[in-house]
Amino acid sequence: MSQSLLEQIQELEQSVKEKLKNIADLNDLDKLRVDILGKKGSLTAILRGLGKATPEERKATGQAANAFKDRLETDIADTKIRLEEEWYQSLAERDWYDAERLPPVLEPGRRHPLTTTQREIEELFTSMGFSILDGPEVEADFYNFGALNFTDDHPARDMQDTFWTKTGRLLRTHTSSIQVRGMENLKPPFRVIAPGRVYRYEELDASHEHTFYQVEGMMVDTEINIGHLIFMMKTLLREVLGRETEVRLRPGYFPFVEPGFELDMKCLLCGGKGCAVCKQSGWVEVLPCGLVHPNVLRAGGLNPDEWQGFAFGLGLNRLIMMRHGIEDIRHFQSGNLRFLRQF
Amino acid sequence: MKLSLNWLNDYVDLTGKDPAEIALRLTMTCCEVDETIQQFAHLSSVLVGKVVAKKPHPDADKLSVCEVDLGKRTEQIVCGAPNVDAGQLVPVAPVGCVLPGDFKIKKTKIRGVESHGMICSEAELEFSAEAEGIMVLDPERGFEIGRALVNWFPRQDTIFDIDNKSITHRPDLWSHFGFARELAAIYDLPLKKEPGLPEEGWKLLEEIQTDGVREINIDIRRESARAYCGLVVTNLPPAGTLKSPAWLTDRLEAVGAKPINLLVDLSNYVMFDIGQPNHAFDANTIEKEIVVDFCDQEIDFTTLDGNKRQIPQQSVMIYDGEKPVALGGIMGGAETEISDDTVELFLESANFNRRDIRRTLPRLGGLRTDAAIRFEKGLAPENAARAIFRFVELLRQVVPEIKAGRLVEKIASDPFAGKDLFITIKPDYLRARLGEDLPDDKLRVILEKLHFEVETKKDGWQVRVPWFRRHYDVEVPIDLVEEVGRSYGYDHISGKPPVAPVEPPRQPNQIKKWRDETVDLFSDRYGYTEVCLYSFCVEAEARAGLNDWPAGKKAKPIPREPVELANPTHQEQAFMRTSLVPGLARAAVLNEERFDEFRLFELGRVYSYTGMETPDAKIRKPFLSDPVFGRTEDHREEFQLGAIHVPRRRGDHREANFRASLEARSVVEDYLRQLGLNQYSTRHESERPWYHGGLAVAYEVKGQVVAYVGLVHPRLQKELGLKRDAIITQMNLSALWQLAPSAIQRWKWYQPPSVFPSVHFEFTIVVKDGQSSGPIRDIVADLKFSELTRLELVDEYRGEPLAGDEQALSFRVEFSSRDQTLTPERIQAMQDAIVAALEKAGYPLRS
Repeated sequence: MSQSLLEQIQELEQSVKEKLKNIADLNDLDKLRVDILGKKGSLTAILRGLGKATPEERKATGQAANAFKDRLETDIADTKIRLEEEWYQSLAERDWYDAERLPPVLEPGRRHPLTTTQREIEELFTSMGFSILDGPEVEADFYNFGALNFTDDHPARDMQDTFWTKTGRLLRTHTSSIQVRGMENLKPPFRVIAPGRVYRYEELDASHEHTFYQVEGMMVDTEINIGHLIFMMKTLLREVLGRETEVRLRPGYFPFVEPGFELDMKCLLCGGKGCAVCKQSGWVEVLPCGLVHPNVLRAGGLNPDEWQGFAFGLGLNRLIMMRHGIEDIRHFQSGNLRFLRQF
Repeated sequence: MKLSLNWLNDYVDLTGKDPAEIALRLTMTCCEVDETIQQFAHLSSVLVGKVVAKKPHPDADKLSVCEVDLGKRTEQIVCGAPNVDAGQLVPVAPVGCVLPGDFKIKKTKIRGVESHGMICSEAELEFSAEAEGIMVLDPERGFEIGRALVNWFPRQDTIFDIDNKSITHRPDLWSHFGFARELAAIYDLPLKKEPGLPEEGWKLLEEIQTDGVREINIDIRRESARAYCGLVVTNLPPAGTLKSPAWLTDRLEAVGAKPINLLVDLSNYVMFDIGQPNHAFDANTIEKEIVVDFCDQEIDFTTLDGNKRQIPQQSVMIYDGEKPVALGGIMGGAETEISDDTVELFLESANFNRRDIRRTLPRLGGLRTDAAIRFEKGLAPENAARAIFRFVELLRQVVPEIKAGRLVEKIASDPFAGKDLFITIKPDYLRARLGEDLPDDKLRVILEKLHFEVETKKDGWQVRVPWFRRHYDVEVPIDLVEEVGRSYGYDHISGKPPVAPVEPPRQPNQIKKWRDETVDLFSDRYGYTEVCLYSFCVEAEARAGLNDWPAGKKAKPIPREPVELANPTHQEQAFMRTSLVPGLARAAVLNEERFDEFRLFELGRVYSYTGMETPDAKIRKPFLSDPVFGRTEDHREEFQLGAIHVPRRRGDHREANFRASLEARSVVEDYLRQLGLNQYSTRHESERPWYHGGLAVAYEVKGQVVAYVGLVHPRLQKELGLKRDAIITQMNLSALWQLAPSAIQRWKWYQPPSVFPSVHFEFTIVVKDGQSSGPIRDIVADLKFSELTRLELVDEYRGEPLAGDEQALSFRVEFSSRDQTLTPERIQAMQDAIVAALEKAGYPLRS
C-alpha cells in the first residue's frame, strides 16, 4: 500500500527542513515556497488525494497539513529575516562603490557684496519707515548741482570732478541728485533712502574709483535737528557693522547742507594706525551729512520756515571695505571671481 | 594750502601747543588738515664745529681726516670734501643725529680710519638743492662752537597742509592771518595784531607820499571788477639789486613758494599773509591808464610764466589803454613784469566777481594760480587796499627811502556799500536746530569769539556779520547754527531718535522688488554669480548694442543714439554702454584661464539718447514704479540682465556648447514663467552681433523681443581675446517688467491637487541635421488642448538604424484634467490630432 497522506506530509516536511537550512538566496526561498504551497506545489499535490480518503483520515490529514503550513510559513519568514540580514551584512562587499571619491566642489551662484550690503541698509531703513527711491544716473545739471545750492559760479562745482556727456548732461556725482526729485514727488513729511551708482572723473588707484556706490538718505519733517542726524548715523553704522564703532563728527563742507558734517569712522583695516585705505590718517570718511540747506528745500518746493530735514550720503564701497577688510576699491567692478567667490 | 606755524605765531601766540593737537582742533572745528610736517628738525642736533686739524687719509687720496672741536669734546671725522680746511667753522652732524631722508649718523670706519660724525654740505642740511663741498660758516655771524645750528638758522617750522576743498566756502581762510583769526577763536586767545589795517596804512602812505610821483588813472568798465586800487612806488634801486631778506625767503620756501626777487616775493608774501592777491607792474611799461574790461573776442596774450595763451572771449583783462597787460585775477603779463632794471613799480590790488574768474578758468586749461583759486571763492573787496598797505609796509622795512604817489581806489560795485549785514535770530532757533540745550550766554560767547556782534532786540538777537565773513559765507540764520555747532563741537551733541509716525514705508518700490527677486533667482536658483561692471565702453560696442532690442511690430520705433562722454578718462571708456554683453565677455576673459566652468550675470542699466523733447523740464514722472528712467525725457536708462556661461573644458565642445545653451534657455523660460509670462515664442537668430549665427535664439512675448540665448560670436571672441566658447543670455528687463502682469509673487493662489489620474503619451520624431525641432512645441501648443499639461523632450538618439545625419527625438505629452477622468476616446482624439498636425508640418512619427 502506498504511503498515507499523513506520511507524505511528514516526509515533505523533513525534506523542506533540510532545504531551508541550506537555502542562501531570497529568490530560492520564494521559489521553495511556491514549490510547496503554490497551486502546483507539492503540498497541493498531496492534498489532492484527500478526495479518496475517509472522513477521519481527511480530518487528520487536514489538521496535519494546516499545522505544517503554519510551521512552514514561520520557518520561511525566519529564513527570510536571516537571509535579508546576511544580505545587508554583505552589502559592503557585494555592492561596493568608491564612496570616498573626491566630490565636485559645489559652486553656488553668489550675490555681489554691494548688493548684499545695500540690501541690509535698505532693510534697516525700511524697518524704520523709510521709502526707497531711485533715479537716473545720466542726470541734468539742475538735480545734481543747480537745485543743490551749487550756483553757476560756485567753486564747489570743482570739488566733484564731473563726467559730462556730449548731449549736455552729466553723470551724477552723488546720489544727492535724488533729494530734489524726491521732494518734487513726495508730500512732506517723508523719509527716504536712495541707493545707486555714481561717477567721478578720477584716475583709478587703490582708494579711488570713477564708478562707485552711495546710499542717499533724507528725512523731512517739521522738527529735525543735528541730534537726530547723529542718532541715525550712529544707528546706521552700528547695524551695518554689527558693533559699536569709534566715530567722530567734524565740520565738512557741501553746499546742499548747512551745517555740513563728515562722519569719520576709525579705520578697521589698520585699527587707526594709518594705511593706504585711510590715507595714513587712521580715520575713514564714510558719511558726509548735514541739515538740508534752506535753498535746497526751496528748490524742492518746500517752505524752509515750515520744513527741515537732514540728509546723508553713505559711501557704500568704503563701508564694505571696512566691513570685510578689502584693501583695494578696484576689486568691486573687476568681475574677478577670485574676489566674488569670497562673498 | 600750506600754513607755517611760525607765521601764524606772528598773529596769535600758539607757542607751547602740540602741532598734532592744533591739527586735530582745526579738523574738528574748521577744516581738514591733510598732513602736519616738521621742517628742519635736524637743525637742533647739528652742531657748530671747528676744524682744528686736517691730515690726509693714509689710504685714500680724496679723503681727509679732521679733528673737529665740538665744544665739550673733539671728534675725529673723515671728510671727502676738497674744500674742508683747518680753522673753518663747519656744521657737524654728530653720531646719533638724523639728517633729512631719515639718514642716521653712525660711528663708522672709512678705509680703516674711524669717523665719529659728518661735516655737512648745504644740500645735506636742506638749505639748498645741491652743493659742492661742505658748508663753511661765516665767522662774522658769531657762531659759538658746540651749539646747535638752529640758533643761527631759525628755520624750524611746522607746516599744516590744509585740504583746499574743505575751505571752499571760507574765502576768509585763504591766508595765515585768516587762520590765525580762526585759531584765536578756537583757543580763545587774543590776536596780537592785524596786518594791513587801513588806519595804519593811510598813515604810512602819507609819510612816503611825494608830490610829482606819477598817478595812474584806473577805469573799471562794465563792472568787470568790484574794486581796483593802484599806487606808484618810486625811488627804488634797480630791482635786480634788491635781495629778499632771509626771513622772507625762508617763509616763502616754508609754504612751498619759490623766491624770485624782492618785489615778486613781497607780492606773494602779502597774498599768503592776508589772502589778497596783488601784482607789481614795472610802472615804466604802463604808458596810459589802467582799464579793466572784458575782452570782446579771443586774444593772444603772453603771461608772465612765458606762455603764449589764447585768452577766451569775456575774460577780465587789464589794459594799459588798449594794450592788454594782465589777465585779471589770474596772472600778470610778461611785457609788464618786474625786471632787473625796474626802478618804479605800479602796485595793484583788486577784487573781481568770482563768476568772471570761474568762467575763464576752465577754458584756460588748468591755469589755477594762487590768485585765481582765491578770487574764485569770492574775496571780500575790503581787503584790496589792505594788500597795498601791507606791501608798502614790508617794502619800506627793506628799502626805507621809497616814495609813492597817491593811492587810487576805484570801487565799481560793492554788495554791502558801507552797510552792515545783520541776521536776526532767536536763541531758541539755534537750540532747536542743534538739538542741544545751550544757554543764551554760551551761544553769545561763541558767536562773539568768532567776531559776530550780538545785540538783543525785542524780537530776538540781531547778529552783525563781520566784514570778512559776509561774502558767500555767513548769509542766513542756518549759517549761524553751523558757526555755533562747530565751535561747541559736534561730538558733544548727543544723538536722539527723531519722532515720526509708526507706519511702513509710504512708497512701495516695485522696481526694487523686481530687482531683488531677479538677483535672487539668478544667484540662488540658477547658480550664476553676480558681477557689477563699468558703465563705459568703446563706440563700436555702444553702436552695436543700440540695436539689441528692435521695436515690436506694432510699436513705434524710438530713435536712439549712444551717449558719448565729453571728457572720458580714457578713449576706451568714451561711451555709455548700450548692452551688458561686452562687459560680461571681458569679465569672462579675466576668469577663463583660472576657472574650468563658471557662470556670471549682471543686472544693470544701459543708456541711450532719444533726442525726445522733454515736455516740461519741471514735470518728471515718478521714478518709483516705472522700469524705464526718462520715459518722457531725452535720455533713457533701462534695466537689462546679461549672463555668460563658460562650460567645462572637457569633451566634445560642440556638444558642450549645445547643452549649455539648452540650460540657459531653461533659465530664461523659468524666469518668464516666474513673471507670469507663459506665452512666448522662439526664433532662430542668425545675424545678431554678439551671437554665433548657428546657435542663437530670440524669445518674443506679445510680438516683442525680450531675451536672447546663444553662443558667443567668434568676432567678439577675437576682439576681446576670449579664448573659450561661452553661452550668452540677454534679457530686456525693462520690457519684461512692463509686460509682466505683476511682480514675481512669493505666494500664488492655491489649486487643490487633481485627484484624477494623468495620462502619458510618447512619440518619436526623426529630424535631419539642419532641420529645426523648435516648431514641434508650437505645433503642439497651437492645438490648444486645455488637458495638455506638459510637453517634454525625454530622449535623444543617434546611430543605427538611423542615417548618419539623423536624430530621433522622443517627446512625452501629459494629459490631465482637474475635473474628471479623461475618457479613452478623448485621449485618442488628442493623440491623433497631435500626430496629424506634426505630419502635416513635416514631422512624421517614426514608424
